[in-house]
Amino acid sequence: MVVSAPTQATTGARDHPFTGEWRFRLFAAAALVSMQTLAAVGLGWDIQWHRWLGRDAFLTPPHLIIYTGVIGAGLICITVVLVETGRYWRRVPGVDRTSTVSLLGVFHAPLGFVLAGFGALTMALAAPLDNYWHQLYGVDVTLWSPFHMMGLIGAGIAYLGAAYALASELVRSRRDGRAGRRVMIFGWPGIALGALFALTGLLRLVRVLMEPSIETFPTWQLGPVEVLTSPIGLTLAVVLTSMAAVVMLRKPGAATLMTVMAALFTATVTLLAPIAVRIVGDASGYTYRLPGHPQINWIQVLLPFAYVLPAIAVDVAYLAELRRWRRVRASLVAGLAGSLPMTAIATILTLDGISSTEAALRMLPASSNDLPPQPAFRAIALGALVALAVGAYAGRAGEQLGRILRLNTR
Amino acid sequence: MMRRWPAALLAMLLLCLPAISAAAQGPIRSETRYAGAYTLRIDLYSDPAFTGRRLNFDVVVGASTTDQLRSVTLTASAIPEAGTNASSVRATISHAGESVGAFRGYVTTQVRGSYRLHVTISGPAGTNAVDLPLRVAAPTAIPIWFAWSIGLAPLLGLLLFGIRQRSYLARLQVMGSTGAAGASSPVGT
Repeated sequence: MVVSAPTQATTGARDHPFTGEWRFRLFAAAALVSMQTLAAVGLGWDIQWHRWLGRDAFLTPPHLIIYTGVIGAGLICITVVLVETGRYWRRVPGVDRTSTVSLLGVFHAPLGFVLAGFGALTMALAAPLDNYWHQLYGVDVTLWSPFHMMGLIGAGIAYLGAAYALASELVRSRRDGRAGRRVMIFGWPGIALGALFALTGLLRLVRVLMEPSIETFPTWQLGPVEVLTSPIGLTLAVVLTSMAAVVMLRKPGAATLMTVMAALFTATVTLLAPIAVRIVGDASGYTYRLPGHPQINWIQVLLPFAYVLPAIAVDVAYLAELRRWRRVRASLVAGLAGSLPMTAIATILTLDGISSTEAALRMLPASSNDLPPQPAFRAIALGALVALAVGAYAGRAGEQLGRILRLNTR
Repeated sequence: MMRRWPAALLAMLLLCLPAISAAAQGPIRSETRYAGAYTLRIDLYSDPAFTGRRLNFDVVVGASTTDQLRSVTLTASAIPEAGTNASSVRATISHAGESVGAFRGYVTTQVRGSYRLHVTISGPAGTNAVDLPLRVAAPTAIPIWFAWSIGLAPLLGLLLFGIRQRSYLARLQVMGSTGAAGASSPVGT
């Protein structure tokens, strides 16, 4: 890691009247992302725990890690909202309507922390409901259950909040003339890297959310039509976050770097989670649900790197188009450019997931111990077409999200 | 203000009443099983058991001689029967006071359905195991459509937020074009 010395602009900024306020927000945003990362590590472990050991209690070690992260993130948000509200009413320099949003007319806080707080609250509410659901219907047949979805949507809102919180600090830093260059890592401003990492949360989350579509429920029956689902969800996630990244920073390689960060994080957790399950499982004398011991699945470890290719396409297409300054066209073209490789990758992954892994059998209840059937060609073709359309729209939506992140100071 | 204290105290006592009565309750099902030279009387404090709550039980071990009861150890787990989509759960067992051969334990299952309480006894007269059928009930079920409505409700909030953000973006653009938004440079952070 290369960390540069403070520049002249930084030295000048020390005397700025808002410096204390900015430092507080930046520290809080970094702490928020750290807590969310802790929860994400717990989630990766928990998925392997459920797969190999089942669900024998609510307070399992991975659940403890997840909820430590969630509660920590929630407490950080509450603290920031209360502190900023106090500062707003005391008219502290730097805390006004241009740097906070109003909540119920009483509270004033940065938008990112308000969002992340709602996300954490949603996750906290989902926890007892999910426990109740398991008591009724058993251990996981699929991730797609009502209160898992509630928790994951809450996580999505929280990740979005973290991205807003860090991006707004980057905007402020840019306007102040520092452009986040106080801490540089490999030529990238530290805040920019933080904002990119916060964005990876959304991508990682959708990847987890779409796992059942690769392993157990590859198609959805919508009336008379059957559609392959995984290309749609994965394309939406990769293109949306890649576009948001490249537009937020307007720097070549931002989307690629974001997906590399997401892939490195996911690969590390996927690599270590089975080892952690095995250590705890063996030490505590658990009975494994599947034959043998937890093992590293190298395909799952390397899989996240497949999402780098669509991000490169988005990077190149958007920056090439951007120079001609046609925003809508640029975002649509970049969205399509990213969707083409992503749709192909997701389709291959799903078909391979069905034909060559035992994962589907592992997750299905014993009463229906059959692999899902191979999707029909029509379902695959329709899935690909819908994914391309969704990718183009995701390009546009990601471009708008990126612009908000580039301009928002609240 | 002071007059409210007796009422508050009474309310507290009423709240504690179920817990007090539950604690005072004795076993409601008693079964005897034979494990080789040992006789096991297993007393259950709840039948059916409930998901997420402790099922307390006592085990009183009998043998033909007192020597056979010395250094007896007991382990137990709730093992799901076929059709119960759950994992095995180990019970926590400890000696009950000073009396030889008396144990108390509890197990908490997380999923409703049929289980068997598998108790293994080891002692000077050998190692044997016995099974006791258990039924675990769940709280009242909510309809699946209602659960999905609750689960996906935050998505509605997210969509509303997205719609509002579009108008916010338009305002940001106006401010950006008049002020120092820093959005005009094509490349750079």
